[in-house]
Amino acid sequence: MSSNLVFDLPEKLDQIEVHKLIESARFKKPTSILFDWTKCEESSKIALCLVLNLMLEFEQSGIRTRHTSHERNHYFKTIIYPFISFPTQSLEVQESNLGAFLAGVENDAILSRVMAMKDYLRSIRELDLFNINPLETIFSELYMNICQHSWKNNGIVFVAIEPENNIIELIISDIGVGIPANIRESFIEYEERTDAEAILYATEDLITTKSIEQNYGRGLSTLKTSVIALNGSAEIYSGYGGLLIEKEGIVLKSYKQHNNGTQIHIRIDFRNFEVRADFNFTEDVEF
Amino acid sequence: MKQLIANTITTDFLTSKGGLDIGKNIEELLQINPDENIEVSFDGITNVSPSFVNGAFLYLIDNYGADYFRSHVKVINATSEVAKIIGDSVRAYLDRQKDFFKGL
Repeated sequence: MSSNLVFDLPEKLDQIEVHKLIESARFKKPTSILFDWTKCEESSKIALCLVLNLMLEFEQSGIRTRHTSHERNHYFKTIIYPFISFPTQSLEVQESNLGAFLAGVENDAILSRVMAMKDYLRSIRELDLFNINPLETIFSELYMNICQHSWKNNGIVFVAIEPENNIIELIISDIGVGIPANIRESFIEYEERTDAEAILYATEDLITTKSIEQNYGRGLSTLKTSVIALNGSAEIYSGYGGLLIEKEGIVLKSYKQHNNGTQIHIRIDFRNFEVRADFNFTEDVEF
Repeated sequence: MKQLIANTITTDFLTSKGGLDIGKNIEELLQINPDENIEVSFDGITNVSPSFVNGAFLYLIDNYGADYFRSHVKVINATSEVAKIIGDSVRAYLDRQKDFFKGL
């Protein structure tokens, strides 16, 4: 039976609201959905990444999605409009073609998107002076995490600069199975532990669920060490748990509302990157 | 001694798939002559990711063992940043393997 869902988005849209929408929509299995933004005055960036993820999930299932005018929504404009003009088009929509990757088939789509992001980061004028290799590495590792572990074909990446605060902000978001479920699948001892503890375990170096042969558990540990080294912050939300990673320490968090998939919000003062210098190719490494 | 120039094999230094292209090339040379020492030159490469290192080097450690890998594979002409990423990633994995075997 066909059904049309209307999501009447509230004046202030936060990620908790969107997670509720995701669960309700997946349960009702509608044939078309209208996101009504009329009342929405303000939205968190993660909430918007989640809406975009949900929209992609529906569209891939053949469900028609529509939006009312979102002119009034500052963040929606911030996310969507700047990215539309990119030569790579829709950089925020990163399809991963998971099946092909797992099968070991050539998958240039992943590489081309990692490279597109790298080019984009290098085109940001405020970052000109700095060696932003750590940022490229964080992005590529987390993007591959979505491809290999989320069991979804889509993820959303959001990048913005706050020039007045010298901050670069990166959000990597998917609405797949999430970190705690992946950890419990491979590490039985985590069945009784909290979601936050499972996420913390996933950030340890060389902890992997080996969803493909070349996984060695590097993505989240790279995020943790890089963010700490750069004196930035990373917030991870997944399942009922989360982590706040900062130089001062790691704080475990628990939430009443289930977070679908994994949302990672990184903020770094870009003056903490090393100043760009000429590269010297003179080092040897023996093991 | 044989030398591989990494950037003639792949342009992808950020994913495990790009790393695996290097790992497979090293493996081919080792299969032709198991006594040969291989130097992999990272000249011109300004960044690599830990996932790339997985495909390029950890793959070989898994298939040929740590001792054989150590005595036959060497990285040359790297930037200090690239050398650190490769060195730290490989050494962490070798230490982990050592602990694992000790625990058995």
